[in-house]
Amino acid sequence: MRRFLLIATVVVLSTVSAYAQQQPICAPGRDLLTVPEIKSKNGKLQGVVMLSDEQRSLASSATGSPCNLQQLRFFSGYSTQDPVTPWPHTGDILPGPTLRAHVGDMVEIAFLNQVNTSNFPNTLDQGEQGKTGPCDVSTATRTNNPNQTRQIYPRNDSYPNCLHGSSTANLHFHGTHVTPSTTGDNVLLFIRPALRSGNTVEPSTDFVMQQFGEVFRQCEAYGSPQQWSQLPATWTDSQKQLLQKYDSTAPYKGVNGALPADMKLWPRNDARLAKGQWPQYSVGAYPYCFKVPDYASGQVKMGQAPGTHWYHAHKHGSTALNVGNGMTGAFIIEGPYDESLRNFYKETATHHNWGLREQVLVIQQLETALNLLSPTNRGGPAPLSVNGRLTPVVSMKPNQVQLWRIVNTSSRNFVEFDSFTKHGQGGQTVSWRQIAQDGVQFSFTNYQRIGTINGKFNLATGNRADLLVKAPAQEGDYALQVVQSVSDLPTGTPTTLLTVRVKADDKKVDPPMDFIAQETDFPKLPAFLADITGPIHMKRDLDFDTTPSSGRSGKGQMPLHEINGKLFDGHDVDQTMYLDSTEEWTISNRTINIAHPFHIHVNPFQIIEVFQPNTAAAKDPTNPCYADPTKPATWKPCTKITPPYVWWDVFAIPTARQDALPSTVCTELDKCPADIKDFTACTNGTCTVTIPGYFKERSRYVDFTGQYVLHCHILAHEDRGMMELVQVIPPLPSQLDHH
Amino acid sequence: MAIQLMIRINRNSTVTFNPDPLSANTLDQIFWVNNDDTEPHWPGLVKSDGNINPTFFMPNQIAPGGDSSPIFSPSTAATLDYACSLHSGETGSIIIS
Repeated sequence: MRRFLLIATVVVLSTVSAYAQQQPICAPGRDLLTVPEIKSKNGKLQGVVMLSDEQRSLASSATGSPCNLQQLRFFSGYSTQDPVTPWPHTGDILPGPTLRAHVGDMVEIAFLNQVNTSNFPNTLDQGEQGKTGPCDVSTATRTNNPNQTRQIYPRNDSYPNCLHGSSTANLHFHGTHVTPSTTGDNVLLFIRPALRSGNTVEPSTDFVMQQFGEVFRQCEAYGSPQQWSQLPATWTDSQKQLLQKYDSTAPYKGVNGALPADMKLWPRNDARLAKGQWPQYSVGAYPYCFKVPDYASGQVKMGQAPGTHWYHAHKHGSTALNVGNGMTGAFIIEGPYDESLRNFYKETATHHNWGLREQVLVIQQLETALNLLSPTNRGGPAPLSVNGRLTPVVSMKPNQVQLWRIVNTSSRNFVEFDSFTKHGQGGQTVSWRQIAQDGVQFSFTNYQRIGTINGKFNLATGNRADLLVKAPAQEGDYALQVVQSVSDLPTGTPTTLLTVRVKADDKKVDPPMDFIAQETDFPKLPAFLADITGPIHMKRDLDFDTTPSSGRSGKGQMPLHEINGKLFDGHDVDQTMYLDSTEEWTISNRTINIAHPFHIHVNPFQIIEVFQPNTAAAKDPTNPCYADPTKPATWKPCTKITPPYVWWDVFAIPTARQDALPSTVCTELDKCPADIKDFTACTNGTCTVTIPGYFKERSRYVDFTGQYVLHCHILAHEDRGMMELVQVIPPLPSQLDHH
Repeated sequence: MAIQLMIRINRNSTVTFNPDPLSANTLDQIFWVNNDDTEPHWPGLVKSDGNINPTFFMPNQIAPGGDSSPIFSPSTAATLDYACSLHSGETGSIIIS
């Protein structure tokens, strides 16, 4: 009890000392900020992640200008096991606290939503404001009559696949292999802001921490709860009262306390509880509690891969804006992988000033005003930041090797790592070797063939990479050049993501550190990360496609982003997998300019085949790898990926290619060859074929039943419906092995 | 890249808009927040004849403690004068460049 009183006191202090910045600062080239960490102790990661809001400096371009103060929602936090240190309110849009656990740990996060909703527009569902639907709404002046307005959004977007409800949140623990249900990686939750009267919030932080102390104690003893009734009655009763209070006081058409019956929240929870289901709506706080499974325990079929993962807000309809506000953070899960690396690079009597320095680098694309709500886009996508700053400076010593854990939390842009600039005599430069993808280490074979020195790699939104980064002997500044895109084949002018400043001090690295070269020194791949073998129980096809926008003027329509010709509907389960099954999915893309990044929660997958129709070879009729638009049999990769395969949890589906058909083939759809008809469109006597890009992946649906989602990780696409509800269910008795 | 701009409706001895005037760029996203806990307010466009068009920015009043909807994103440079359609004497302006 004493511990929780201490916590409560600190939270109250942090709340009342709200930061108010006077002058915005967005200057590029400042030192990299180290994000505060919540570290596990004694097998438990115990802490608070607080969602609140304040004014922060937002750059509108990579130059840092214009630079404006903007009200942003943000995560802060602290460990409840360590002495509390204040969250750094620097005015930078820092990610949330880095969570650092170990495989086998219990994770116990008290998530508090104390956003002041009066600081944001469209903060709650617009139904509460008396609109025809719960979607966000924006208008603009008519260019031909500035005394009138016209609607910009939502146009043809409709609930639930529209931007809405951006002060409601939850947490997705991206990359974790944990239960998707109840208090686990459950993204079907709606955690509403605490009810607010002046500076007082309900539920109070004191009350939340007292109640969650009991929730976590029960969770440690018995695992994540299965039923809502297993939570303390004091908590569940108070949540019921708060939801009912909200229902009786929320505004509707500008009048408080007039919410229609069908828009009230408690009845929705009540209906689920009556069916024995876990309720979706909470007010002000939620207890996340789950175990990170350790394969070595012998209790699971698939362990948690130790590596670089992350967490972010994942409430459907507001993920893009919330992540654009910076509601993200790194989630490092340690294990034998890290221990092996640290052991190799440890300081010894003969290795002076060695030791593996780690940099956690959260790439962000920060914004407060999604361009979908403005009449047109202005100035292109938001610039990239790292840990809240534009082109920050990372310090290294000459001849030092560091471990960089990189998370691309951008809501839109992919980031291809191209090269570091050269410096000094002989053109010395910083070099890297990739050692892990999406939080799963490479096998030594893939370290040799993929993790080559300065081998380019492209991080789609949500992707992670771990790098060994080596500084040269020459002091100086080395700029990391990246190419931004939404493509599997990025083109464009490189920009600087960050700068490495190599500078000597009196603690010389001697002898020089270097990349791991021997297999015996490389982290050993755990058995559960070996290639998926055995029978494939099911094959599926998923087709991602975008119908482009017809503009935002007149009767113009918003673009449609669909999977298998359908938008997310929030109720129907689109894919059902049996527990313990192994499946192979072919995931294709008919969009010609966007490589939709496919992401599925809970279970990572192995990529076994990739077809990119837009490579130079696939487009060259004289090349043996040519993908001929008239011959679907050629729409496949020319070279095979050989085992061992790489694990991913986000993979950008290669863009499609459109080719005009010769008039000798056909000029009307009905006369086109049958095998290409499904991919052909004809207009005014000219027919074009769309050659889809695709990849094939294998995954095992093990250890956890429950419902979760797959979706495009360009988050405005997800919010607007490019998502499916999936479930894993126990196998039928007839499908169990009996030998 | 657009930004969000908030106009606070504050009640002290009188009801005022803050900031007033608001400087904005075209395509920025503007909204009002009613910090008056006692009464609703309803900013509307002041027309050239001096009358107020209450539904220019929003179709409903803003409840005490609430925020406006929809977001207003101006397309063209102009100075827009607005006034509360519920209470006389509560005025403000937006300068769009």
